[in-house]
Amino acid sequence: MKKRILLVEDDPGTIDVVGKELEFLGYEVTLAKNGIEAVALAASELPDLIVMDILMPSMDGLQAAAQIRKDPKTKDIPILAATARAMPGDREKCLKGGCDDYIAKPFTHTELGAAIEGLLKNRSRRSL
Amino acid sequence: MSRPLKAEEKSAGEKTLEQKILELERANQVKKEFLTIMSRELRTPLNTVMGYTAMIKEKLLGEINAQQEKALAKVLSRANDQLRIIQSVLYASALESGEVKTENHEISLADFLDNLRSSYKGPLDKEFKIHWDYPSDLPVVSTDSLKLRQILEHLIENAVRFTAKGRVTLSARYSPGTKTAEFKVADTSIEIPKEVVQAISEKSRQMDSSETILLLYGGVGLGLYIVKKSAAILGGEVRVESEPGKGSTFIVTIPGEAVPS
Repeated sequence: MKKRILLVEDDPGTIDVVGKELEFLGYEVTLAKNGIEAVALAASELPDLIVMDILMPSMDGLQAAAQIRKDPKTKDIPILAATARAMPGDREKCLKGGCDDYIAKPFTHTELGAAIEGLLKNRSRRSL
Repeated sequence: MSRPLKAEEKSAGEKTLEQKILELERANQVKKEFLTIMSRELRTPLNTVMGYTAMIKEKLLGEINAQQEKALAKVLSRANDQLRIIQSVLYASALESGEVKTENHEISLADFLDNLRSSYKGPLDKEFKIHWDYPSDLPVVSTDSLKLRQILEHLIENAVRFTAKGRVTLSARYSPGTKTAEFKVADTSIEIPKEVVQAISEKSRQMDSSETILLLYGGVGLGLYIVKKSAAILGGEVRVESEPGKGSTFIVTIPGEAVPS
C-alpha cells in the first residue's frame, strides 16, 4: 500500500512541483495550505509523514509542529521541515521546534526522497 | 507660572530615550524580517526551476534525447551556482546587520577536524584529495564551532573550486603561548590578486565600503567577505599569503583558551 504524506504548503508553485515529486516517488498526497489545516488533517488523516513548510500565514510550520507533537494521536508522526529558511541555525531551530529532519528549498526529488525514506525507515525501526 | 512639560507636550523633534530605543528595536526587527522574506522570495522560485529540471532530466515526465539531457544538466549546475550566491549574499547581509550571533561551547579541536574531514565530499567532476595535517592532541577550546566550520568549509571550497591541478592542504596547530588556534588552507595553484590580499589582511579595513565588498565577492574572492567577517565575530582574523605560480595560503587565527581535560 502507498504511504500517505501530508504536504503542508501555501505557495501554489511549490504545491505543484513538490506534489509531482511526491507522486513520482510513489506517495499518496494530502494537502494542507496552512498550519491550522495541517493540525486538523494530521489528526483526521493520520498520515505516515508530514512535509512541513515553515513560513506560512496564520499559523506557521513550527507552531503547527508544536500542536501536532502535543496531541497523543499525532505526536509520533515524523515531520520533515521543507523550508526557505536557510540561515545557519535554522536547521537547529526546526529540529528543536519538533521537526525530525530538515531540507532547505530549493531541493529536487532526489533529496526529498532520501529525506523521507530516512525518516520512514527510522520510524519503522522505532515501532518494532 | 511654569510647570514640567508632559510627554505629549514636548516638541516633535525631541524624542525620549525610550522612543529612540523602541525605534531601533523596530528597525532591527524590520531588517530581520526583510532577510527572511528575501530568503523566501529568492529560494521559492528556484524550487520550481530545479525541481522540474531534475524531474525532466531524469525522464520522469517522458523521454528526452541525449542533447536535451546535457542541456538540463547545465541548467541544474548553473541554478546551483546561483543558489550558492543567494546563500552568500543573504548570509553576508545577516552578518552586516549584526543579526548573526556567536554561540560558544567547548569543542575538541581534534574531534572537530575529524568530523569536518569525514563529512567532506570532494567535487564530483575532479579527482581530488585534500591533505589533512593536524596533531591528534589538539586541545578542547571554547568557540563557536558552527561558524568556525563554515569558515573552513568556505576556504576549502574556494581552494578546490579554483585549483585545476595540484593539491589543497588543511593544517591546524594550537599555540598555548598566545592561546590561539591557527588553521591554514593552502593550495598550489590559485593566485590571489594583490588588492584582494590587502583587503583581507588589513584589520582596519572598513568592511562596509562597497569597494571592499566587491573585491572580496567578485571572482576568486567569492565568499571571502563572509570568511573575514565571521572570523572577526569570533574574535579572530584572516590573512592570506599568495605567490604567483606557487599558490595561496589562507591563515585563520581564532582565540580560545585550552580547557583542562
